This record gives sequence, C-alpha cells and structure tokens, in this order.
Amino acid sequence: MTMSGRGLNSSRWLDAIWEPNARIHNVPNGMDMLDLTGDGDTKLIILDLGSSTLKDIKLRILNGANQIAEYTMVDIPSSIIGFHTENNNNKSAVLAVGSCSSILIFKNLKPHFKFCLPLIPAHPKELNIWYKTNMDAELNIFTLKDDLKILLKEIGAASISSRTLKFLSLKTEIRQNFVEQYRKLSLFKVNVITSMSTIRKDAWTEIAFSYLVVGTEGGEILILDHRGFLIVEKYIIGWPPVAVTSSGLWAGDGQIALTGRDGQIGVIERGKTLKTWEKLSAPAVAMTILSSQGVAVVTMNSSFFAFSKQGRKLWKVQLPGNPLDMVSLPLPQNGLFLLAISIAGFGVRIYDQRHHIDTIKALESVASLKYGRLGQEEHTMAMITFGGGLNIKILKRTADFRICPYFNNNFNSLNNIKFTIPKKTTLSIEQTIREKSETTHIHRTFQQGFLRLRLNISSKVQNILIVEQQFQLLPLALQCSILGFGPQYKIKIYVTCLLERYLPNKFFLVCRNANILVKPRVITLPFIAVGFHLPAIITLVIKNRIPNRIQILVCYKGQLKPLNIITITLPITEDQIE
Amino acid sequence: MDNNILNNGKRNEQLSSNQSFRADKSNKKIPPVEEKNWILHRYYTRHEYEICKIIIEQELEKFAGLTEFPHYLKGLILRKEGRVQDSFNCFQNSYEVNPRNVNNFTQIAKSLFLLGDYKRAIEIFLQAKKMSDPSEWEINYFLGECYTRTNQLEDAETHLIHATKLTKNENPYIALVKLYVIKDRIIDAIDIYTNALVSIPESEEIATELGQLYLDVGDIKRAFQQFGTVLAQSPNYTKAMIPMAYIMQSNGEYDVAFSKYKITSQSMPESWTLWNNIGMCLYGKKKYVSAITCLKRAHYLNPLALAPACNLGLVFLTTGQVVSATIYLCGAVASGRTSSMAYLLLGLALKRLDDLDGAESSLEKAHSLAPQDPWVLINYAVVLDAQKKSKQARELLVVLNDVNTLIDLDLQIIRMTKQLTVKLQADDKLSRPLFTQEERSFNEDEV
Amino acid sequence: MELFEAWSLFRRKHYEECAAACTELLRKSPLDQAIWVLKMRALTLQVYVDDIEGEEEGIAETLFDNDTISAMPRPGTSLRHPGTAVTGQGFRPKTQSGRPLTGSVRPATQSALDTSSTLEQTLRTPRTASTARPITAITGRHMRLGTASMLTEPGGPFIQLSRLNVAKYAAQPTIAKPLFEYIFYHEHDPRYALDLAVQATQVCQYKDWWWKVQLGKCYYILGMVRDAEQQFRSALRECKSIETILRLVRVYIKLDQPLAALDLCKKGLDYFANDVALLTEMARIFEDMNNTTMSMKYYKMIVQEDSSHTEAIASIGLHYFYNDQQEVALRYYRRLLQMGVHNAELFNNLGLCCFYAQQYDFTISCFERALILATNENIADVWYNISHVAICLGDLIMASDCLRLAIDADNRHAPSYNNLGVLEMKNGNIVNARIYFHTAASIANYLYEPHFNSSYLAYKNGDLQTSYNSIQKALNAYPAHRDSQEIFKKLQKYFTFM
Repeated sequence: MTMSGRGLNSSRWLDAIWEPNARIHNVPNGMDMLDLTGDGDTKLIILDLGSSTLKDIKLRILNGANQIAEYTMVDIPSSIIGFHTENNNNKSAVLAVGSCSSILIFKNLKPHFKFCLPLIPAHPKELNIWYKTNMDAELNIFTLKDDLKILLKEIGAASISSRTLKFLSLKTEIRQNFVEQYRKLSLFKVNVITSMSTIRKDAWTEIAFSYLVVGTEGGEILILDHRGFLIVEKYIIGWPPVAVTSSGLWAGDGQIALTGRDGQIGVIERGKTLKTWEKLSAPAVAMTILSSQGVAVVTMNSSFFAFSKQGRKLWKVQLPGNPLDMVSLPLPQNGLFLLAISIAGFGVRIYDQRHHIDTIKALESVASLKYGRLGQEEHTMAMITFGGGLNIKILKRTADFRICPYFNNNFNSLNNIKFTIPKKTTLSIEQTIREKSETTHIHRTFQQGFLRLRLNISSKVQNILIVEQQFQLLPLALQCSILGFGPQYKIKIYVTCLLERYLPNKFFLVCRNANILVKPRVITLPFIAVGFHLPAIITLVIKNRIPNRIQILVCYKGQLKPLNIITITLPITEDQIE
Repeated sequence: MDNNILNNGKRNEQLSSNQSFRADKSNKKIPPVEEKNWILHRYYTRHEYEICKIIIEQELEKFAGLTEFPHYLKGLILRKEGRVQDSFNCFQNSYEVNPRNVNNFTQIAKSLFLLGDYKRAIEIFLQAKKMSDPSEWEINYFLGECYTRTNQLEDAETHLIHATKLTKNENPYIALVKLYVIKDRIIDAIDIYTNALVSIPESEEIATELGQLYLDVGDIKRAFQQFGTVLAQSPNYTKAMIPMAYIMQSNGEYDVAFSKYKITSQSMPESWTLWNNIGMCLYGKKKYVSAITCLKRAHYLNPLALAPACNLGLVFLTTGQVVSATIYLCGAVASGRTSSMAYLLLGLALKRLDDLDGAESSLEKAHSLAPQDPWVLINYAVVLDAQKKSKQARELLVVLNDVNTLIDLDLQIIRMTKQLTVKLQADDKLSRPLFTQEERSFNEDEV
Repeated sequence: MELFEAWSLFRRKHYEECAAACTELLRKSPLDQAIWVLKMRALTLQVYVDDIEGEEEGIAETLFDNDTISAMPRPGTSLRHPGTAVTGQGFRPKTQSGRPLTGSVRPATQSALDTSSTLEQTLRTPRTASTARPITAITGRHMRLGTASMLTEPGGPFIQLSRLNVAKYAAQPTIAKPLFEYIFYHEHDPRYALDLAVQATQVCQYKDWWWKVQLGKCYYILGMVRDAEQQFRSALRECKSIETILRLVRVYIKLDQPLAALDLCKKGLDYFANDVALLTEMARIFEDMNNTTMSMKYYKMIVQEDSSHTEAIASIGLHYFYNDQQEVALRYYRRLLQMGVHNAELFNNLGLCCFYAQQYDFTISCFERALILATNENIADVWYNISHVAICLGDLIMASDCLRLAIDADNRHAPSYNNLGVLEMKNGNIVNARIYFHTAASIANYLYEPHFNSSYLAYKNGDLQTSYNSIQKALNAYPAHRDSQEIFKKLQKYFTFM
C-alpha cells in the first residue's frame, strides 16, 4: 500500500529526538515514562539489555536525549513499570524493576528497596534426600546423584530446585565441592518474574494508588501492595504469563488479562479464578488494553485480534508483517482510543478500532514502543529501533485522525487496475485468413513434418538406449559443490535417497582423475534413509594449472559399469593472494 | 494455597546506605534454571531465531541439558525451519527432563505425525489425551488427522466431531468436512460447515468452501448467496470471487463476471483457471480474438489441462481456424481421455478437414463415453451417413428420439434430426452438407 | 622508405607485419622515436578490445565489494533488488540471477547477485560454459583469446616497464598517449599506466580531458570506483564524448545506482541525440530493473535509428513473444534472419513463434533447421522446445522422448528434468517424478517450478516435511507465486508456532 502524500508530509507527528547511535537494546515492557522526582517533568526510563546475548545490562534514565542516571543490573530484568503510591498526594512515581526473583524499587531516581518473591518450598522427597546428605557424616555423592536422578525421572524438572539440577549437570570431580558448599543451606525453589503490570485500587484520579501485578514462571499472579510489600492476593493459573494488562479498579470491576507462551489467554477478576478464553492461533507478541472494551493482542502469525471483556472476538485483522510491539494511544480530547503497532518492515501503524489510519515511517524496524507524557509534552511516542536508535515523536495538537487516507484506498485501487489483453494486429488477421484458405495444405504439411520429426526422435532415443543399455533412474540424487579457490579444493557431495524404502548399502562413489591428488578416492555409502542428506567431502589438490576435470562414478557392488558418471570441471586456480 | 496472604517480610532486605542492589550477601546463589525463559520466548515471538538459538545453547550448556524450556523452544524453532527429525529429538529431550508436561507428549506426537509415522503418533496422542485437560481440542484434532491418514475413518470422525465441539478454531471443521467428502457424505459436510459458520462467522475459508459444496451439489442459489456473503465481508477475497463470477457467467452476465475476473487477475495472474474463464467469458461476448489470446495464455500456463485445450478447440472451430482447432483438440484428447466433449469436437474438426475416417473413430469414442449425449448422437449420425453407413446412423437416430422424450432438446438438434431423417428415408444422394455448430461452452470451475 | 613501408602496413591494418618491420628498423636505429611509437601502436592495436562491452563482474568483486551499499535500498532504485515485474514469472522465465530472460546474450546479464545469497551458495553454482562466471575477473578481463599477450616475445618484452622513465615520456605528449595505450592494452598493467597518466595529466596542467578518461579507466580497473567517477565527471565537463559517458554509466552500475546512470544517459542524449550506444545502455538498465515497458520503448527507438541492431531486434522479439503477440515477434525474428543471423537459437525461436502464431506449416522445418545448426551447448534447448510442441499436440510419449534427448545433450538441463517429472506424475509414476523434481531443484535452485512441483507431490502423498521445505524454496525463488502461497498456508497449520 503506498502512502499518500498527505499522510507522510503533513504528518501528524513532530520529530523530537532521533538518536540513531543511542545503542539501546530494548524489548517490549522495557520502557516507561515517569515523573520520578515529582517536579512535573517526566523522564524516560529505559531498560537497556546491552546486547542480544544479554551482557552489560543497564537501567538508563533519560531527560530528553540526555542521560541523567544509569544503574547496572546484575540479573536480567524482564520488565519495568512505574506506579503511584498514594492517591492525589505525592506526584512522584515509584519505579519497579522486575528482575529474576526480585523486584527492585526506585524512588526519587535512587534505589530504595529490594523485594524478593517468596521462595517455593522444595518437593518433600527432594528435601528429604538433601536432608539425609546433610545428616550423613560421610558424604557419598554417588548415592546422592542416583537418588536425585531417580527423583528427577519421577517428578520432572519443573518441580525440582535449581540446586539439584545444577548438581546433576556438574562434572563428577566438582560435585563433592559443590555439595560441601551448599548442603548446609536450606533448600528452596526460586521463582522468576516473567511479567508485571499495575492496577488501580479504588480511584480514577490521575495520580492514584495502584497495586503491582506480577506474573511468575511458577504460573501465579501476585497482587502486591507496596506498603510493607505484602502479597495481597495470589492466583494460581498453571502457566507462566508472558504479558499482563489490567483495566478498571481492582476494588471494583477491575480485570487482569493475561496470555501465556502457548497462546493461552484469559482474565482474572478479584476473588475469582482464572477464566480462560479460546486459545490464540499463535503465541501473543504483545497485549494491551482496548479502551474500556477489552484487550487487543497481536500474535506471531501477523494477526491483530481484539477481544471484549467477556472474551468474545471483536475482530481479526491481518497485518502486513511480523508485529513487534503494541501500545495503546488514548486520546480522550478527541474521544479516540487508538492502538500503535510496530510491524517489521512497515514502521509503526496506528489503528482506530480495526481501521488503519496512520503510519509512522521508520528507517529501521521498531523494537519497542511507549506512549505517554514525556517532559512537558502530553502525547509523545518513544520508539527504540532494532539498530539501537532512539526516536521520540510528539503528536501534533492539531492532529486530526478523522481524515484517514487509508480508508478508501481499496476502492480506489480497484478502479485503476491495469488489465490489458494484447490487441491482435492486422498481421494476425492476415494469418488467420491464410490459415482458413489453405487449411488442408497447412494441416498436411504440419502433420507430415511432425510425424517425420517424431520418427527421427524415436530413433534417436532408441540409439541412446542402446548406448546406455543400463539406463535406469538412479535412486540417488547427488548434489556436488566445489569449495575453495585452489589449488586445494573441497568437493562436497550431498547424497540423497529418493526411494520409498531404505537404500541398500551396495553403492559406492569413485573419483577418477589423472593429475589430481584425491582423498578419499572411494566412498562407500551406508544405508541412507529417505530424504536424508548424507554429506561426503572429497579433498583435492591440483598439481598443475591446466583446467582440470574430475569424474565421480556412482557404482553398485557386483556391477561392472558405473550407474552414472558426473563430470565436474574445476575452476582455474586463483593466484595466491599476497 | 489455603491462605492468600503470605508472610514474606523476613526475606526482604532493607538496603544499606551505599544505595546499591549489589549487596547480595552470598555468592552462593544458584541462578534459577528458568531465569532466561521469558527472554527466550520474547525473542521467539519476534522471529529472532538465531539469537534464540545462541542463548538456548548457552543455557543447555550451563545446566548440561537439564532444562526443559530451552529444549522445547529449540524443537519449535527447528520445526519451523523444516527440520522435523531434529525437532523431534529436542522434544524427546524436553520429555526426558520433564515427563510430567503434556506439551512434551503432544509435541512428540505432532513430530511423529509430521514424519508420517501415524501409528506411533496415535499411541502417544492417546496417552497425552489421558493426561491433559479435557477441554483441550488440539489432541482430538490431530488424532482425527492421523486416523484419516491411516484410513480409520470412523475413529477419525468421532475425534474430529469431539474437537469441533470444544473449539472455535476452523481446522477441525475443515478436516471433518474433508473426511465427509472422502466418504461422499456431502450433505453432512454442508451441515458441518453451516454449524461452523454459526460459531466462526468471520471465517472466509469455511464460507467459501461451503459455497463450493453447494455448487458441487448443484444448489446454485445457495452457493451464490454464500459467495455473496463472503464478498460482502471482504470484497477482495479471490477464492470466492472466481466461483461467483463463474455463476454469473453461466447465467450470461458476462460483463459483471468479467469485471470480477479483472480484479482477481491482479492477485493471481498465473492461474490458468482464471484465464480460461476469462477466455470463455469473452467467447460468450463473441469477442473471439481476445478469447483466443486469453485461452492461449491459460493453455501456456498449463498445457496439460483439459479445459483450456478443449475451449481453444471450440473457439477455433467457431472462427473457422480448423488446423489450430485440430492441434489443440489433439492435446485435449490426450489430457482428458474420458472427456466425450473433446472427442466430439475433434471429430467435428477432422470432419472439416475432410478426414472422415478420423472423424468417425473420434466420434465413436465420444459415443462410447457418452452414449446418451444428443450432440454426440446427432453428429455421429451425420458422419456415419457421410461414410455411407446409414444403418448405424438410423440406429443412432432412434436413440436420439428416445432421449428426446426424456429431455427437451436444442432446437438446432431437432431441426438437424429432421433433415437427416428425411435424407436417410429418401436414401438418395442429396449432397447438401450438413453441419452443426457446437455452442455449448465448457467452463471449468476452480479446482 | 622502410619507415614509409611500415607506416603503410600499419594503415592497411597489417599490424603483425608492421611490428616485424619496425623491429627490423629498430635494430638499425634503436633510438628512432618515430619507429618506436609506430611499433607501439601496431602492437597495441593487435590486441585492442572494446573494453566497454567486454566486461563481466566476477564473484569476488561482487561479494567483497568495498563500496558499501545500503542493505535495504528503496524499491526500484537498485539493480540488486529489482522492483517487481509487471508480468509474473509464470509468463517469462527467470535466469539464475533473477532477471527475466534477455533477448540476446550480452555481458553483465549474469551479474548482480542477490545480496542474500551466501558466498558458499554462489561458489557452488556450477561454472560451466553456459553459466560461467569467473571467480575474479581482474586477471583476464581484457584478454582476447589467442592474443599476443599470451605469447612471450622473442628476445624479451618490447618495452621493459620496470626500466621505463615514466617522467620523461610523460612530458612528451606525442609519445605519452601511444605509450599509455600500449601499457594499458598490451601489457595489461594498469598500475604503470596510472603512473604515466598521473604524470602526463600534471604536465598538461589537468587540461587534457583525454588523460582524465584514461585515469578513470585505470582507477576503474583497479577497483577505485569513486576515484574513477571523479575523473570521468571532470573529463565530461571539458569535453562531451560518448565513450566517457558510457564509462561513467558503467561506474554508476557498479555502484548500483541505476537511476543516476539513467539520468546521465538522458543528459548525454541532449548532446548526442538518438545515439544508439546511449539508447542501448538505457534499454539494458531498464531491462535489468525489470521495467519492460521502458526498456521496450528504448529498444524501439534504437531500431528506428539502426534498423539492423541485433540486440534491440532480438529483445523486442522476445518481448512480443512473451506478451502473447507471437505473430509480431515472428516478424522481428524474420528480420534477424534477413540480416544474416543464422543460428540454432534463431531458428528455434522462429519455430516456436510459427507454432504459436498458427503458421504450422513452417514450424517443423524451423525446428529441423535448428537441430541441424545446434551445437552441444544449445541443442538441449531446442529439444526442450520441441517437447513443448509435442505436449501441445498431446503426444506425451514424444514429449518425454524429447526431454530425454535434452537431458542426454545437457545433463544439467533443469527445465527438462522438471517437465519430465510432470509427465511422469501424469503417468502415475510418483517415485520417478520425485526423482526428477529433486534433480531439477538441485540443479537450478533459482527456478520455482521444480520446488513447487516436488512440494505439491509431497503434500499429496502426506510427506509434510519435504513439502514444507520445498515450498519455502519455491517462495524464495518467486515470492508472489499464488499456488505456492496457498500450499504454504495450508502447511503452516502443521508447522505452527506452538
């Protein structure tokens, strides 16, 4: 779909910051805009995962494009979120960073508190085994190993502590040491935070007390009150949530929607158990709230769904590419509630309900999005690209989303379809006349000629068949490739069996050439299963610089003639690069 | 958990004045095995498989393969890459680590299904079914697919019906209908789709296929309605557009059909059925030259298909280019050995090339394939008469008369029959050439 | 007198004799500059090649390119990712590099690698006579077969480059120019040539455009494309010449800036209205950008200027053939025949055109002529096309015979394997069909048909894994193929994300 000039140049968005070399590696849920100090100036807080292999993880706090604080993280934080601790009173927000098994709380740009998730008691049997080890005067790591292995088989890794797993994965020599080090400590299983969100407790005011909603690897949702950090409520859902969003007031009709790794989706209401909806057709990439109606989800198979609060599917839109992130864009002054979806290769698309109404073009695909108040600006969109660039745009006050250039696009395109059937020229008419007038002649000449050709061909084919008496289809397909610049080459031969059954191991390959050193000369092929590619490598060294040929013969044991001969012309040796 | 409020204050550490979170007391902390699961899944959903694989390998090394999720995810990625055997091994590993997870079971079974080992797949699916949540429909669906492929259709039906009751996903419905079509239970198939549309009204595929089924049983009105609904929902859905245009075309609304084809041609310029239909549409509008171009394009795209070859023959016969007609009809005969139409047209073409022997044998074949077809009968009779085999010709006319009592014949045939009867009765050498022009168009529906 | 004789020999283009005569004269008077220059000219012209045309980019240059090109060019601005063609591949077949078939074989039609392909893949593509692409072209770029440069001259080389006093000769314009050409064309030593050119251009205070062009040539050959661009541009400012324009166009193509090249050509046409060389260049660029309409426009202009321009006629003919106007194509091919082109390809095309344009009585004789004229390299194509005629006539036995002959002539003829597979499939020989498709696919990874066919076959037989892998390859070769997309969608159900 091409963009009409209106959408792009008279763009609804102003460029505020474009920092292509910010080197930020960010994933969804790793960004927030918060007024941390209470001075009304909102900062951008970004979780920088360093590199894709997760080294050098930092929490960066930016004021505009300037970094004002940076904290190095020890564990890998899965999400960050800001929330308020009191109704209407203190303007400054609190930042929570969910990192491995603990939540780090920042206040006033400073680390404030670390809350650890409650440990899960270890399985009684496991506890028992370690207890015995602890009691035994003499440590026998072999019986310990055997006991634990049996236990692992019995209850599965999911319910076993990481100590046991680590112990089992160690080499025998260091196991002793390991046990000595750990057996005195109490045994627990550690929980990991997978996602976080907040939910308002009882007030709709701009600054309102919120609970933290935490999803864990153990398949629970915890509702946390930051005052004294109490777990107010706990819901067992049975699978680790990957995304959590909430709407409403927890004290009232509040709802927490969550989705899992296998496409599970459902909601929790206060005091009720999880209500699951129809599974998604693919795992969700991002989930966000859809005004008061329900939730919107984008999935791996490039679909964009909306669900009502009751779990009814409102719509499904096919996206042009893979979605990467999605955020809500509430615009109460226009009475709109939009959604922004970042799509690989298509920039960020803005949707009003199911209608695509605007696109923010980006040079690189946008890895994560955040929309909200930044600095003094009410409507800003922060985008982090795959290349690590930071892009911040501001929605113009005059932006009018009622004019949507995309809406009529389909109808326009239908009218100017290029559909041309080539016109027949006078030439063809002349020919038609000729054909009609000399029908029999043309027919005869053609049929005679055709028969003659046919005869000719049959005899030629016959000749070939005589020459290759054993012409038969090879049940093997060979794919040869030459690697190297010479004088040393490697020939890679992929042998593929094309038969229904197994190939008998009576085939072998022979390489033939006079002045090339070939190693190995003969390759015996083993049993090959159908569709299995067996790689065989031949090394060659060319002795002189004359263009060389090498022949590979496919032979069958007990048969004199080769079944097939493949001739490979070797390229001329390159000059040695000095 | 019996109490909702857990006491957890003990473990919380108030930070010391150095204002850092690093103050972890012991270095003895063992990182939990699930630590990186969330980021792995995050990368996976963003299709960043290469990074995913790197981290998976790191994790597997760290815990000597005793982690479940990395194995599982690796399996998913490898399967996505088409390496089913390798992914099967991964799922087996994750099963080894955690035999309690149903997902591991189902993935192993799915892999076996993809590898074509349906028997073992069924065994494992059945085992998984016992362990899983009874509302899980996917296992039933796959069981249905497996049983269909091992030809245990009864079992397949039970499982698929069960699956359709549990889900709004279209896959089990489609599989079930496929099964009914194999068993030739079209009415049941239509029922299933009608039910499916109640719960999944937005599925274009099901709505279109339902239309197609109506078309197959000859209920053109319902089919038309069905395609109309689909197109109202998504006006550019080509799969519904072609049969819709086909119905219009058979009703003689060539212009409407043509505009529909025009839209379709944008998204599927290489479909021979489309060009064939466009060709016949133009033929209907008596634009023979353009019709030939389009049909030739269809024939170029699939020289082995019957319809374009046959239609080309027909159009060429109409325009009097008999040599061309013969050539394409030869091809048509070779590709559709059971099509009486092709033989009939070939017979006519050969007759016009004065090859009466050829025409006779061709029509004989056509007659043996369709002994009741009035067009074949009359043309065969005419050729036999020309070959001076009046006895056989008369026999054919008798048959034709019988047919006439059953269905209303085309006026042209009746006129011709009368002429021929008169001629045969007179039995003199009235050398008036008797020609018939085939006008039945031959439209191929979308495959 | 003897000098005059040598001069006369030179004028009559008897370069070898002329060089011999000069050698003789030089023995008598070794310091005669006139004779020295004459011999230089004679030797140069002996091996002179039109180096604008004779160029083929090597794999090494393409892949190890120093000029980094943006990895994601906008559509339609790059030759490496040509915009989508107007007609699909179903109508006009594709060559290895992803371009539609060109009307005539010309240099650089095989270049412009897909940047996504890996080095190994590129090296793996066989380098046979029909698809040969040198790994690196620097060494042999301007070599003419059997040229003198291969033969060592008796008594050592004519001019010892290492002992040459470059500064001295650079100061003498009359000698410098022939000397440069000698070094450049005869000795193939761009480094020395560059040295000479640099000094010579300093001597004439950067005023002689000729030297700038030569400098550009040297830079270009040494791979310093940006420097070459500067030199050519500066030369063009002083003197407009077609040669310089063409060379600059080459530079832009190498830099993958076809739009700049087109722009330059257009400006060039303002000075040299309707120049065939410029028009040809433009037509080719448009063709490489998959813009057939524009390409045709320019080819037609060329034909109006030069009614016997083979490349243009052949290209137009091909265009009409694939555009369902075979009778027009036939007329163009006849024109080629009248011009004296007499080869298997032409007769083959004539035969096909006759068949599709309903001139059946000539069809067979054209094919027979093509078979007689065919060489080992192209006979497979003729057989392949005859098989098409046989298929149209429904003679499937003959068709498969023809395809067998095609394979016998060229055992890497992928389309034949593919079609043989289709015929086998029609006969219900699933195993054979599978083998043929597999062979075709492994030979010609760039054709989508074999991949699609084997995927389709596997899908029908329930081998979902093979089908899935093949269909991805098919879509890789032709992303917009509707039927492949359809199968892929069906298969994705089984290979889902969960």
